[in-house]
Amino acid sequence: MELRRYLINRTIQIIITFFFIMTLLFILFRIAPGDPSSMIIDPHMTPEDVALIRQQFGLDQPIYVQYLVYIKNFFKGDFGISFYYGEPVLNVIKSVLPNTLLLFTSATILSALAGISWGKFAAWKKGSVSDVALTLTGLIAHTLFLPWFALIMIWIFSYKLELFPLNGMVSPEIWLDPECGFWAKSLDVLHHLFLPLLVLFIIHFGGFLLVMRSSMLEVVKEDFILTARAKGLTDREIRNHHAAPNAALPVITNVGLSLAFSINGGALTETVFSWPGLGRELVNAVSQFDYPLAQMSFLIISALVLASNLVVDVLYAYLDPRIRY
Amino acid sequence: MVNFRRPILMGPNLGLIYCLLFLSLALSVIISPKTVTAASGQAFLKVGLLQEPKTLNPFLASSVWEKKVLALIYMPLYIHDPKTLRLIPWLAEGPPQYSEDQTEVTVDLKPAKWSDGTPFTAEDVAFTANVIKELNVPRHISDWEHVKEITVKSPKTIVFKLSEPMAFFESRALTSLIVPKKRWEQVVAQAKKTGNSLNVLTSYVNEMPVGIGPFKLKEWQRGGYLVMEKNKYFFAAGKTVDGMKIGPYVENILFKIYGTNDAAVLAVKKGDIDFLYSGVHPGFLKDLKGAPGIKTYTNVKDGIYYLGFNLRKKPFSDPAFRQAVAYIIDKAFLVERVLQGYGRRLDTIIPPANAALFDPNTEKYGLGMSQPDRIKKAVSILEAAGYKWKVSPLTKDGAVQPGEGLMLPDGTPMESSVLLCPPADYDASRAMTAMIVQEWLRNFGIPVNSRPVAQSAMMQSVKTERNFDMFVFGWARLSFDGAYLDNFFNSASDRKNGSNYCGYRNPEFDQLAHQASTTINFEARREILFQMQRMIIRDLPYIPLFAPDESECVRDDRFTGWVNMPVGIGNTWTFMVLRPTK
Repeated sequence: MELRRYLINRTIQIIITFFFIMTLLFILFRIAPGDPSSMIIDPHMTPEDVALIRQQFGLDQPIYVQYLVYIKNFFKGDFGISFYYGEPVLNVIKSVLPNTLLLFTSATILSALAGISWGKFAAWKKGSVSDVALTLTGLIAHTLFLPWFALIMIWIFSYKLELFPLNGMVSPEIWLDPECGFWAKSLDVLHHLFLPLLVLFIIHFGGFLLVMRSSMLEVVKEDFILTARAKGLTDREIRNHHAAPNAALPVITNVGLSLAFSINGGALTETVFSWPGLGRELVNAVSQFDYPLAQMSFLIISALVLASNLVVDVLYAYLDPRIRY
Repeated sequence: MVNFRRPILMGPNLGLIYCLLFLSLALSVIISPKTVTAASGQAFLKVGLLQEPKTLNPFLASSVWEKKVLALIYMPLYIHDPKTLRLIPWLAEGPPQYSEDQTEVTVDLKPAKWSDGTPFTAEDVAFTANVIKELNVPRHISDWEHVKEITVKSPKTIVFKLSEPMAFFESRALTSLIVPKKRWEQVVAQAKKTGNSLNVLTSYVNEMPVGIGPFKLKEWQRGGYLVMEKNKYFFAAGKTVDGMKIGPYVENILFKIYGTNDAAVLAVKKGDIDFLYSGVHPGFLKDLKGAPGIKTYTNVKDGIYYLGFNLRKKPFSDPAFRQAVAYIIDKAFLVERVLQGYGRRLDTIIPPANAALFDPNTEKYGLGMSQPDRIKKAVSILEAAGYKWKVSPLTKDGAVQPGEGLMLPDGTPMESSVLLCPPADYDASRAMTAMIVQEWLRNFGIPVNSRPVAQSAMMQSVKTERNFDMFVFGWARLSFDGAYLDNFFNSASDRKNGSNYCGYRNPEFDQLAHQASTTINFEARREILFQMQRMIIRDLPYIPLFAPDESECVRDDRFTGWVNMPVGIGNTWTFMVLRPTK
């Protein structure tokens, strides 16, 4: 009953926050210097051209009119036409979102799995060679500069060793070959996926590892671990069934938020690997003043972050019976 | 002890996941074909783009990446000759015929077919122009603003009635891409029925364009690649231009997208692509030049870099001040350090790539002078104009020293000024140039701070608000007709969002600009454009700095016949005459 009330309250809070974010996004994009016409650098551009472009996108209207139209259209399910693509923004987002989910969400899940598992192990073997090696690797990996590291990986694995494609998500040569069927194309995508996935995995697992390790180190000092030992449980049982689940709580928040944020991809990774994802679109949309596309992309990310917060809160109650709402 | 439920991420057997992952990797590496032979054994020309085209709707396309692809699908009535850059008839049968008062232009059309086999007629030309005029299509409407009336005299003859003789009508309107009426009239009719016809027109997704160029779209896998195939109806096939027999001889073009120049260059070296349809950073050239099967081309880019002043403010409004700055700047140093030697100093506002209109005889401030001599000259100009210093850049015995505290002729000290430039991640050349110029000016006693700002913020200050002191800017892909000189410096363009950023106002120049735009004869017009260039270099609203080179790289072991135009090999002609080597 209490949980239900909590959920209702949180949902109302989320709706209010979402509306606030919508408004904030609208204001932020409008107060930034420039507009879509300012990004068109054409020596033949006349003030009349600029006026036409502003008129075409409705930017000649007073700001409050633009805001009301934006809110009205949003609730009508009309998310606008991308200034840059000339297509509905949902179409643009739909075309790149699966690519982002495939790479970034997979990378987040895999690095979380590995980070948690290795963090657990490192903490349990505190001070050992394995602990030092894992912690050091995690730290170094976590601080690597992604574009540089990605380029080095491309140079070694794609250019020198020719193990992976240089970039992109598909090989046109395979996709255009009528003899290549579903499996060949799927393998081709996997082949392109592996290197960026590996790079993201290496960059991200360290963060999860370090959080899990420090959380575990706190938990192993608790009395119930001593009790478990006194009961004669094996090391493995104590680690996996008693210490790790307790230590996982802060990591769950981390993973929840990382999963929500993984949807915005990463403009740098997508650029270096020419991966057609939402991150690059988002950066382009912001730099090109493509208000409808940028706003909608940020709104989707905001909605997911808000929802994941709620899910994590509920998950806490499920994982830890001590937590009551 | 608390009895916790076990979270899913704490699953016991991560080994299974790792095994699956590595199995997939092994499979993908083993099974994926390493060969780059194309589908069905056809010859593919593989071209790298640094960005995917956003649209194939010619009424919306604005970026260079869309235009590169669209230029192979749609064609204009007149096109630039690959050697001379002069306009030659393309879809037109011959040169435009002018009436006696030069306000009526008749153009006869070649027999040609669209890629769906339907005939190309004067109706298509009239339709394209009328759509632009009626729907006020931005970026195109100014090309057609002087056209009062369009009459289709016959399926192969069209007449344009102009408001006044207009020299740039040929280079602007008659070089516009033509779209087929049959394909677009439904779209336009629907657009006109709505309250926002322009948005409806530009939001039309031109999925399978019907064009008239050497290639037509075969497949576009968004985010992946774009394939074009030979247009069997291409009207120019078999004809000869400048000794080149027009094909196309390539069956298919495969455009692949690379996010960075680094990845694209690696792709050329590896043989993943035959041509990178973009400039190559000078840093890669040394490596590429020695690579087997690769050929590099370096040409002067059709662009200019310059330092601009806000002539609405003191002391930038003073020609003496601008001249002094022109002497202080060492252009050769900028070319050497900023461009790594890949470029040349610039002393006019038409790039040397445009050989026909480039005036080599403009005044060359500081050329051949040593640094002390340039400083002495700059000091003498400013002293003659009444400027003083707290600490002069010259000692009493004439040696150069760091100057300090420039004072204006009215005795007031010059206030600190700002030199705007884009950040290094947007354009490293401009950011570096601004920093170097800042140091030179400071050493001369001119208080200035270079400030890198986002391109949009810079344009807001310079183009819209006119709230700036100085800026470093560059223009690329300038038209070959020089029409932009009018736009850049005409008094009429000195208004909000106009291209006369500096606020240069000179009735004599305005008159010359009008004369140039109404002089149909090319030689006569060129002479006027030369006068305009000399006037600008005399008055210096801009100080031209340098024209960078553009280097390109190709696989000449796979294809031959790259057309090296004065502005590079990335041009439509290349795609029309290129042949596989085997």
